[in-house]
Amino acid sequence: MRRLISVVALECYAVALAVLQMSGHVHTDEAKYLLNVPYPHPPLARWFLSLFDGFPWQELGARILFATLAVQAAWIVWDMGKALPSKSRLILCGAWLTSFGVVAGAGTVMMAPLTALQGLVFLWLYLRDEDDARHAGAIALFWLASLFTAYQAALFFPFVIAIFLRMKLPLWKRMAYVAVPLFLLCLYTLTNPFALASMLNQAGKDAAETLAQRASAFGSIALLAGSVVLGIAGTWGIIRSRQPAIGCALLLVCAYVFLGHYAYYMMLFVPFFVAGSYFLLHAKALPPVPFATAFGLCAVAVLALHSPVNPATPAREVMRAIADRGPRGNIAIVGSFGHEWQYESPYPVLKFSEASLPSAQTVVCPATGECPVRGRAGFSLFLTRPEVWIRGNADIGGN
Amino acid sequence: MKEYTLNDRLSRVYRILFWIVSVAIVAVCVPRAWDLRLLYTDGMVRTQVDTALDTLTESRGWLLSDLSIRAVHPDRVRVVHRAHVRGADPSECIDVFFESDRAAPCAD
Repeated sequence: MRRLISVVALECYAVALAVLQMSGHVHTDEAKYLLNVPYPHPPLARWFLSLFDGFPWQELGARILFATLAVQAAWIVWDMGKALPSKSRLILCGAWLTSFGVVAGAGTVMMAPLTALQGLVFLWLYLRDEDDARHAGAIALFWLASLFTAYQAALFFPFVIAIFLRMKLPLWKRMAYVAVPLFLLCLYTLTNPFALASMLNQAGKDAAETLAQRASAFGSIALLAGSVVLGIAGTWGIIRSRQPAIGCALLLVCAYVFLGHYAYYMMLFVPFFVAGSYFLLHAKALPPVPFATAFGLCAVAVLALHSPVNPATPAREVMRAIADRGPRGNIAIVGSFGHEWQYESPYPVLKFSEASLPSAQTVVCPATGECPVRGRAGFSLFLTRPEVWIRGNADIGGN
Repeated sequence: MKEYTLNDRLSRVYRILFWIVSVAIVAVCVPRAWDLRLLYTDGMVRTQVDTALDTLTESRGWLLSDLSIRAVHPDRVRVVHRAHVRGADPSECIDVFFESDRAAPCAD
């Protein structure tokens, strides 16, 4: 009964996190996954999301699903800490649930939180320190599924190697279970040249940044992820534990976030920080109550200073106004724009050009500045911020 | 005779499933990768594909992310345009010829 109440309470928390993210509207990357745009990541998770494409509750449903996975993963943390007294186990679970990385990532429809959960599962398998030969097929399938969810799952390669190395299986089988999924991922990548191009594009995107700028961005992501205290305790615990697989995987994650420092990678750190804190609590090198108090205070302070929700773009309001009162037909958007415009749009979206203009019924200029259809015959102003022009006459919305 | 428990059977199912999925991925991906081989082996064709896609997206107002390259031939590239919208996505298959930048619906 107590377990059931815990599951229900955790689920309420998951729904709250999902609803919190709903207020921020759809982020460009979330839209990409919800619409199953075929890059940059492999297809497994986005294909699953696309099964619900067209349902009005697709976004909320996906957010609740992702948040549920992240929050109910507290049971894995609970099992991970089975060598600890109940109080310390609870503190560890509380730290997982309320660290800024999980609060900010759980309700988002991004691949990074899923990868973080896959990392937590690999960590848990690794720390069980058992011969999992009986589960070799299941673990290999999970490794394959992780890689086909997002490329960054490859960062957990050290865990996978360590888990399979200790299995009492013929060497060729162990090697096959580790290497075949990686080979399949490479093969898939060859069939999707845009994924390859997008990765190369991302790699060169911040090439002009100085080392100090990168270090500062990386530092703030890593510190915020564990609401400062969990990050410090976790890193100390990992260094102290001298577990090579965990150290290598953490270094890979650090290098990855250092190169492409997006805030949504925050959650990738949290499984490591939880594992590191577990080592400290287990070795009685960290007094549980002061740790919980310091963490709680820091978690509140971080939440007060940083919003866990992405800032919204006007895409939803604009597209709703067009759906309600605008003309039916293609919408051309001027300049560069995110996929959220595509997700929110009731009609196909075109990139504005003189060639695409004849087939557009509406022209949106999301950026302030020059709008190429301003003052053109046959177009009238529909909204002013951002500027939206439609063919024929319009009631000016003036949002 | 050895008696198999449920766990033994499950572990066998997972092992078999892993190999079935792996073979299925190879069966799907190898022909597709083969159709794109010129993109990776011929720099000249790669440049022509790049130009052809730019011309196509510019002339139709399409987003590059709505295109997927299906096959690359010495004289043309075959792409599928899928307008990513909520609900069923309308899609069409198009051959773009390098010499003339002409785009035509796929013949076969």
